[in-house]
Amino acid sequence: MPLKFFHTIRLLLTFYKSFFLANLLITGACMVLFWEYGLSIFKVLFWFKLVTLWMVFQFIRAYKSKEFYYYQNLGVSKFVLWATTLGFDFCLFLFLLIQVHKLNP
Amino acid sequence: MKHELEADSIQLEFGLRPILSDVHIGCETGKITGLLGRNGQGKTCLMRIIYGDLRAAGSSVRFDNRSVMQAFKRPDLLRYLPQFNFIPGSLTVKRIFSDYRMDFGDLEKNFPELGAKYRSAISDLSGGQRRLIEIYIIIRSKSRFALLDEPFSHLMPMQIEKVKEMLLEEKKNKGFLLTDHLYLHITDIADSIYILTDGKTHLAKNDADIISLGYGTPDR
Repeated sequence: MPLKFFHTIRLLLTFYKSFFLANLLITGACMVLFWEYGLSIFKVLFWFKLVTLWMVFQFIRAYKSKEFYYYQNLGVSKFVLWATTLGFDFCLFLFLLIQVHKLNP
Repeated sequence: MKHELEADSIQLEFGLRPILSDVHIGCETGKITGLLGRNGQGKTCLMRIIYGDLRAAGSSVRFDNRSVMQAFKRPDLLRYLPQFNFIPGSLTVKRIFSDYRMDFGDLEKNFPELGAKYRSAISDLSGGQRRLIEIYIIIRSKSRFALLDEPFSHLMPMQIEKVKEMLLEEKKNKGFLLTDHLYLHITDIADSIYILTDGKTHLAKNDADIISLGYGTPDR
């Protein structure tokens, strides 16, 4: 069981790596804007992040759909791939904005 | 112990155009089942429905008489080789064999030319070599059944013969359902052959049936 868990995590990381950089740049830009404008811009950033996640989802679904069979043949469904990686990415975004808020004097 | 895979009651339409309407196909461990049909008859759709990856208006897919609607969640039961490259290009051959928990030595024994590619990214391999590795992992990795969509199409004749040998050897452990337009290779190794035409499957008993059902040519 732990070995299977490790294998699944490794597959999820491989999939996440295919769009990690784009998402990191978007999160980074949001952090800078949040530092500058504070809570007043939070709502905009929140929706901006959701829209960009949707765009990444559509892009990967269109251009990398063939690769899903690699993961499915290893027992990792599309739903699990998307739910965990996008869920993690959004949580990371919220966590980093909270840290910016705490650090901002 | 013998295991069975059966699919029937499949209804698939694209808009108003019926694709599959009266399908019955069976496959069992220890046997190779061929699926032949002209372009656009729905062979790939049928495989994807069995795999659970494509939703049909109606379908019944059973493993040992137990219904499994999303077989893609059960790689111990079924794996699927699509007709295109499906391994992410950034992965190394070493990583792929680790993911599928397989021994690279056996591949090297059968295909010595791939021996030096162990640490290469799959995207750095030639088209034929890449396809060969994909075919190999689906044929050899542990599962009861495997669906192979056009396994021979991008290989050179010598490799095709090796793949056929592998299939005949591996059928001791699993059941195969395969389709390819290089159909003589299929008739060569298959224990039974279905022809898919006008949305229906027909069990072909001999070469004459393949011709009369509008697929093969009399001069072979």
